[in-house]
Amino acid sequence: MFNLEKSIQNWRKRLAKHPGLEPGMIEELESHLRDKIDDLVQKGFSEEEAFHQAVENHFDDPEGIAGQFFQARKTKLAPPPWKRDGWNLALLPNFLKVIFRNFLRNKGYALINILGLAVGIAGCILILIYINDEFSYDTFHEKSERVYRVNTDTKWGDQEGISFTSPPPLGRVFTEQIPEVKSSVRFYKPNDQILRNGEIYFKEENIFAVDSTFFNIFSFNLLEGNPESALVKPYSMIITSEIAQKYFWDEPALGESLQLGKDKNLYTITGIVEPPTSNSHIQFDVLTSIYSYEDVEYFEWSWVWNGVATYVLLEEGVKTLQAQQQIPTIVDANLPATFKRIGFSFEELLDNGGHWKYDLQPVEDVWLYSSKIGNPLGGSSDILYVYILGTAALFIMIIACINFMNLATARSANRGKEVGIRKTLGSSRSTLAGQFLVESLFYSSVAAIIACLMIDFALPGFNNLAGKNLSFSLIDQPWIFLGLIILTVTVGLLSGSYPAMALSSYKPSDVLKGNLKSGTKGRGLRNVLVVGQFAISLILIIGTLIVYSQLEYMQNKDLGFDKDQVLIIRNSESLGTQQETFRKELLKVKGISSATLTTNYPSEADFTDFYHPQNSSDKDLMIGSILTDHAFVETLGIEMIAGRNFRENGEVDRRSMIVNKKTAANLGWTPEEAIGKKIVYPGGDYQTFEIIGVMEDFNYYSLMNPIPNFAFFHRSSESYGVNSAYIAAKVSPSEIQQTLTQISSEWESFISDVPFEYVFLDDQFESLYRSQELMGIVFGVFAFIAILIACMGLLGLVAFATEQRTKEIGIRKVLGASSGSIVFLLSKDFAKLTAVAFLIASPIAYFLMQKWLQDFAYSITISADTFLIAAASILSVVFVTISFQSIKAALANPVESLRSE
Amino acid sequence: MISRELKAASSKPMILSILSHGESYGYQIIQNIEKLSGGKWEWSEAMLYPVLHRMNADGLIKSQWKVMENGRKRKYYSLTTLGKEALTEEKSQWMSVHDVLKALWGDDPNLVFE
Repeated sequence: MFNLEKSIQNWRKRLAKHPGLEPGMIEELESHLRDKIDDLVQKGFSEEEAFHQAVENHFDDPEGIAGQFFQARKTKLAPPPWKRDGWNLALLPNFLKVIFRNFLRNKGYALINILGLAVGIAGCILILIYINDEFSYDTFHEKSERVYRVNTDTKWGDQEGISFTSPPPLGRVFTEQIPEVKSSVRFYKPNDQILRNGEIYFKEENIFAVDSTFFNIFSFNLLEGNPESALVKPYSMIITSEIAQKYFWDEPALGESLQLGKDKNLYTITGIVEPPTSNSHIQFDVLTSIYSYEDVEYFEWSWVWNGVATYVLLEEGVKTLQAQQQIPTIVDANLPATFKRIGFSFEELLDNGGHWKYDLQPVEDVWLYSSKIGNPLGGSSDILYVYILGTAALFIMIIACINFMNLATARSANRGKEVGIRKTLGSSRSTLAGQFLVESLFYSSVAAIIACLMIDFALPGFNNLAGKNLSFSLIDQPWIFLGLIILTVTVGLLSGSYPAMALSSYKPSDVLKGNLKSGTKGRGLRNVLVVGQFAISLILIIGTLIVYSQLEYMQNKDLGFDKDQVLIIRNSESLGTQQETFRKELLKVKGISSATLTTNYPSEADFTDFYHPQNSSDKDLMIGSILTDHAFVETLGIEMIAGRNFRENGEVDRRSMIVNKKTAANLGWTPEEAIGKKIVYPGGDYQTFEIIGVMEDFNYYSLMNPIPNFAFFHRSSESYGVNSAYIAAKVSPSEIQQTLTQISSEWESFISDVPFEYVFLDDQFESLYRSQELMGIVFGVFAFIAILIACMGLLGLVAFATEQRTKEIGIRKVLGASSGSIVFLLSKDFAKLTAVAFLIASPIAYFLMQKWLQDFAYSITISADTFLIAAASILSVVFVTISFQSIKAALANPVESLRSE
Repeated sequence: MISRELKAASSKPMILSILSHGESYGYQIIQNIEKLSGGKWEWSEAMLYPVLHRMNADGLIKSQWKVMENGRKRKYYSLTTLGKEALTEEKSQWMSVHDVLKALWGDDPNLVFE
């Protein structure tokens, strides 16, 4: 049956749904409709017919009517408000006003939000600057994309590895025989380091001998001199402008000459070069022509004397692979002859599963991808640290964004009323979402500005930690500015997206009637996010703890000798034949209990070559060694387990050697059996050495490496030539300064024109772990930042939760609850979340750190203690954070909170 | 049928004129226009009310809700002073249109274009 009233009601509802029609209009239209129907009924129509006829002609088309109303009312420039997508620019001032008011009303939350974001952005930008710098190495060379370093990849017996060195003839042969190779340059590090201009002399560490093609391949800026010819003649030298200043002050240096090394060879200065920028893996102060050194010339025939580093320049437009593919032919053509000349067989090496290859490494990769290969021309970094830092940056950003989302959703109920009012006044959902995005963009922009100030403030410290010279300038480095903007916008949109969606979905009738329970919305998500934050923080804390305990372990582990209080005097080769006399003089100095002459010392370098036992030449063994005297064992506190030490009169031990336990074992002997056995050195003149003693194993290098086969030869044996010489002395810790002064004056009485330089052995060992230490610091700093940000967020959440439960707390107190139990009540939830975070973080941290520890030959085992300490520390941080709010709430007088009910 | 454009252009003077005879409400206005035009003018509700509201907002007319004997409410519109002035102005404009067209369509043989 047709019901007129109902039909009119339905018609009215349809119109009411349209956002463009106001209630007053609809009422007027309804009155009209009823008049019309009345008339039609009077004319004899049925109610149903009358109704249908009355609504004909668009009278039941809300959109049509609203459109007409709008057109009659408004100019035609803008679309009707209910059709507007997104938001209108005209609303921006209103948005900003509301944002500003909100900011003032909730200063605490706003500050937590902004500071959290600012710390996050600052951390991120710092890391980006750092990473950008790491990737910028050696990109400044004009031909950098065509320059490659030739690395030697060998496996010969037990010895296996990739090395930055290559033999002297390689560059020339590559250039002649591989069409894709246009040119090459070799680097040779001479032992001569004392540079002298008359009375002025210093020890210069960064002296390299290079081929004359140097400036053709690398784009270092030659200020004076001819890049083509400057390094052609032997005894030519190019110095940096800093060195020129140091030796010649403001006098012109070009054409002058300097003396180099203990032989005081005269080098003519043929060029002045700008000092290398810090983002190059080649750091030099002085360049000399490579043919000034006999070694290089002497070994021009040898393919196994890997005494130089070679870089090649490829022809334009050729692929690396094309050049790489031709290298095996060159290996096959040259290596066998050299092997034969030194008494080995290249075929045998290959038959025993060995290999000998040359790889081309792009020059731009040398800095980041040489951690295992090394770089003799400067330092090297590790792509691993770039990854770790990049991840840390991402983590920090995520934590900061989570904070923002958490606080925004937690406080959403209070904003709900605003949403209700705005919707009632005609805001669409997209307008509201736009408003909240503008708000979060505003916060992230303010945070970005604060972040810039923070970076400015923190950069010197960061540079100090990272050993870098990074700069931060938005004007000079537009990419930082761009990065900052991208980061700010991303963070703003990302962290604003959830609140924007959640808040704009509220139904005005619900929020305005108070049907929406404050803070319940998004609680599940909030908990997930808090757990995520704390899991990340926990991983960083556990990482920091493990890195530090590994460092401590390495620094304190017994290396098999005593590295404390051992003074190493450098430049001792300049004493020449007077070394022994000087050593004896040293023993007279108060505070020195023993002193020894040696060609090298632990952590620095050794001489490694093949040896075999007499009468069994097939048993080749790589043995590292130093040439030293009888006092080495005593000075470094090395334990002898069989046989005897060298005699004080070394001449009798010219053909003696002391090996470590491992070497004896590798040759199949117990320490006692080894005594008296003979070892042959085929690399020299097939001299035979008798094993007179066996010593306890000790770690010659860091704990990163396993203990090598090692031996001492007496320095009188001169079984191989080593130019370096050091004197190691055991000094007593008391009055060390006085002892040093005395040694210094003793030194000057012997040799006045070489500086007295020394290091302490334990310092040297510590510096080996510098990159691990850096990693520990980085972990620590970022763990701190992560926890700081996470706690800021927690503080906000607890404050909010406490505020929500003020009345509950009041009632509980009236019913007799103690303050303690209230604090417990408020902390309980967050403690649970921390526990969940711990369960998630522990296995991840365990897995990651286990992987890191695999790099060390000696490592700690990860103990449960570490995890417990991490859990305890984060719990206590959480508790302290919570207690700020919860104790205040618990102590409050219930009358205050309940009065208003 | 009357064209859309003419309806739009003439709605304002027509409403002003009808209201100059005394207050009226939407339905009645439509009825009167229809009657006066002999059924040629059919105004739709969707067209009339927006115009009324616009004129109301412009101050040409004012409105008042009145409750009828049967309890139904009606919104009555009447002219304001501003509306009366507007009507005078409209009248002179429409009369000039009327004069021109009348002259053109009449059969005055003396009508000459120069």
